[in-house]
Formats: sequence, structure tokens, C-alpha cells
Amino acid sequence: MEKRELIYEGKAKKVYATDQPGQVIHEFKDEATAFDGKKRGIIAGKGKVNAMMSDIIFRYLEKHGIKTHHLKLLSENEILTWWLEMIPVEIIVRNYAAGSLAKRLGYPERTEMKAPIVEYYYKNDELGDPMLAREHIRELGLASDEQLDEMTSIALRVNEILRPYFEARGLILADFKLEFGLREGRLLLGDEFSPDVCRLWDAETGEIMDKDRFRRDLGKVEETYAEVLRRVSEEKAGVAVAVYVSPKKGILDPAGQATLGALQSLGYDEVREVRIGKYITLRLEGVEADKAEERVREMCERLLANPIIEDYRVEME
Amino acid sequence: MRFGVVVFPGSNCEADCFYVIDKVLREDVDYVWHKEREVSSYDCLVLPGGFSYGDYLRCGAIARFSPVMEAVTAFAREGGLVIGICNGFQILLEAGLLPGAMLRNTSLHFICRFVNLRVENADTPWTNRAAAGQVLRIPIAHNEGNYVVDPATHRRMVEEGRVILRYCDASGEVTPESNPNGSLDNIAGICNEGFNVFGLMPHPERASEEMLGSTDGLVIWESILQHYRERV
Repeated sequence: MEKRELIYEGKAKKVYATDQPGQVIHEFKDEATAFDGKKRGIIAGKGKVNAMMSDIIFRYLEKHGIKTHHLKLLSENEILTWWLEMIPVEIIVRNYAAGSLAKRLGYPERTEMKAPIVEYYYKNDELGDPMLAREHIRELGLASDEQLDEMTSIALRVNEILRPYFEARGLILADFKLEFGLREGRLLLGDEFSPDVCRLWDAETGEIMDKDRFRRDLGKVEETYAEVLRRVSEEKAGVAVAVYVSPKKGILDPAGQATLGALQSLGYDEVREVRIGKYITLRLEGVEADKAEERVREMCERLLANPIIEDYRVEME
Repeated sequence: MRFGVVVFPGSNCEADCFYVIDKVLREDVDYVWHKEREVSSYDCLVLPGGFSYGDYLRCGAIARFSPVMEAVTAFAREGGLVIGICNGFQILLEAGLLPGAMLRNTSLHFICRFVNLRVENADTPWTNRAAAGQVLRIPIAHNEGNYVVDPATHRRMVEEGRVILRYCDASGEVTPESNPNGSLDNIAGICNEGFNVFGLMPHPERASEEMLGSTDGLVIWESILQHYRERV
């Protein structure tokens, strides 16, 4: 993979062409801006956190059926993706009132919405990224009705996937922004997913765990970004495991014997042996992958199989 | 004498055991809930039959990790009397307090009927009121009573007289025909090395009153009492 010319530079990242057609490299920067560029600063390590977290979240979303631009993490702060023709509409999903929504509805901060709210914003720095109604989007010709419907439904689906995901890591997903684009006419989720583009609150202490720390000078900005990455990194250890338990060789298997008899009486004379066992699937979280297999073997020895009469086989996903 | 009848979620023979101890033997008896951690005040613990934890995974596999089983294990290790009946036997196997394991009956049927049992060793806390070779008529009711154990352990158990009950015919012959479930060597009941832990598939509590068709189960209950009285 060869990094070629810079094709775009935004507030938080640079996009480079590569020698692969249709593939680009996103390089995440430590620079931070807020209030449409009026506030500027550096958050040391932010580029790394945002690249690595985007990698984790996009892969998690892909696993749950969301089509994204993501290809792979190239380095600490670089991600390889498909190049998308971006739709200049930002989709915001809000589970709790915060920032502009609290002001707009006159709600106290942190009021939970009865149902997630989806908002559209015009991605246009000159205009200050104003909020748009569907009719405005149609008027400006930014996206077709079908595309807008699809983006809305994907955004809500992403919310359904990520809310419990963050909850399991002690974080409340208050709101987030998504951007979409087209690759060969197909709508894909693009941009990034990081504390820059969402609001996260610690589920226990209520502490702010996102870019609001920078916007509102709350301090401990770098530490918070690192902590969020640490928590989402636990996902990497999430492993699916299959355990096959079968009757030991030489141990009579009455159910297998009976089934063998039934198969033969159906004319399947070629069947010489039937062994009936159990197929158990496990999903582990918060355990390092290299330790997981050892743990599962221990589980087999202690509970899942009875070593006196059963053998087991462990398959890690 | 004070008995504790351990109750797991899914046990269903605890009331029968309690009834026999209370009304027939007229001894003290309590239910001991599976969350209990203290059992040292009892003279004998009974693990009754049933389907503890729905028999999920394997019969007894989950019950064996319930809090009370730690206490039962400590109690047994110190020589306390523990009898496991049917599912209770399966739990003792899973807990490693008795050797071996249970497979499904070879017929794949749940079998509920009277069987004949030969007392192979009458010199135990559980059978001292019987004569060696005596035939007891006691019902079984199980789907997984097909006992297996490795040959070396089996040999040792036979040599040490730890095979206590075998399925037999009415005359006391141990025959393949009298084996209801495919159990290795017609084994119906075994003891640990110290003879203080006894597991059996038949239900003595269901054969302890005339009106139930047999009082042979009382032989086992009364042996426990006799053992206790001699020791005290």
C-alpha cells in the first residue's frame, strides 16, 4: 500500500490517495476545533484514539450487518477505507438532551428522549452547519428521499447496536453524528466514530467522556480520550467460542446407537457409527484472546463436559 | 438423630424423604435449601431425587456447584453420613464424592418400576440391618441410571466391597435380564472409600410403608439409625 497525494484536509483529519483504485487513507490529527473553528487546540494522542476507536467500532458495526467504508487500520493513526462520494448531510441521533437539543426543546441537560431523535445538518462550514428539515434537503438536492430514508434507518440501527455496546463498557451513548457516502452507487457509512463525534457519559459517575471536555475546558482531555479507547478495546477480546462435547470413545452412547438403528432401518446401510453429543456456543468479553482458550478448557473440565464419559473440542472464532 | 434433606431447584422427592424420616422413623428432620452454607449440625444429609436445575447440561452438573454442595463436600470429607438417592446420586458423582458417571438408560426410556436389589455388602452404615445376599424390592424412577466407571476403579470398588447394591432377579441372581438400565456390572448403589457417602438409584423412601407395596426401603433407613446409635 503506497500513500499518495493529499486529496482532502479537514479539521481533524487528512485524506490521501493510494495506489489502490478507490481506496484512501485517513490520517487522524491531534488538532481539535470547536464552535465551528472558533476554538482551537491540540489533544495529544487524539489522532491515535480516533483512528483506533473508529477501527474497532466500524468492524463491530460490520459484524452486525452495517455496510461501512472501513477496510483496515494501517497504523496507530491511519485507516484504509473505500473512497466515498460524500453526501453533505450529517445525521445526528440523540438519546439524551445535550448541547443544542437541550436548548431547542427547553429540556434540562441529560433528559432521556422518549425515543431516539434523528436530526439532519447541512455539512457547510460557510453556513455554520445549519440544521435541515427533509424539505430543505430535497430543495437543495443533497440526497434523494430514498437515500435519506436509508440513512435514517441505518442511523437508528447503529444506535440500537452501539447503545448496549457502550453500556457494557460503562458508557452512556447520549448522541452521535454519522456521515454517509456513495461507492459505485451504494450507500456506505463513512467518516469516523470517536469521542469527537459523539457524547459519552460514564454510566456510574456521570462524568463527561468526550469532546465536551475540550469544548468546555473541563480538563483531563487526553486522559479521557485514552480511557474511552481502553474501554472500547475490550471489545477486541470479545471472542466467540464453540465447544463440542461428545461421548468418549469406548463409552456406550445409547442415543447414538438408537439413531444408528433408525438410520439403517431407513436404508442408510453405509452408516457405521453415530455419536450424539452437544454443541455449545459461548461469547466471552473482557478477557484477552490468548487467555480465552485456556479459560474455556477449564470450563469444559469443570462443568461443560464430564471427562469420565465425554471428550470435548474447543474452537475459537 | 438429626437429618437434613437438601433441596435444590427442581428436586421433587424431598417431601417423600422428609415424610419417611419424620413420620415413619420419627427422627428430627429439616429441609436444607441449596443456598445454605452450614450443615454441620446434622447427623446425616439426604440428597433427594428429582431434576435439579432441570437436569440441564448433565444430571447433577449444575447442582454440584450450588453453595450447599461446598458444605456437603466438607461434611462428607470429615466423615459425615451423606446419602444420594437417584438425582442425589448423580449430584454426588458430578461432585466427585463418588467415582464414575451416569449415562442414559440403554433403552432410552424413563424407567419407573420396582426392581430387585441384592445387598452385596451388609457391613456398612447403610445396610447393616440387611443380610449379605438379601434381596430388597425397591422402585427406581430414572432416565440416566446407566452407571459407568473406568475398569481399574471398578475393580478396586469390588475388592473393597464398595459396590453395595446390584440389580438382580427375584431369587437374587445378578443377570443381564435383571439389569434395567445397562448399568456396568448391574451396579445400583456404591459407597466411597470411607463408606460414609452412599449413592443409589432406587428410592428407599418410596418403599417404606406397607401401603406402598414394600417396606424394604426401611432396611436402609433403619441401618442408618442403627449405625448412628452404635457410634454414639
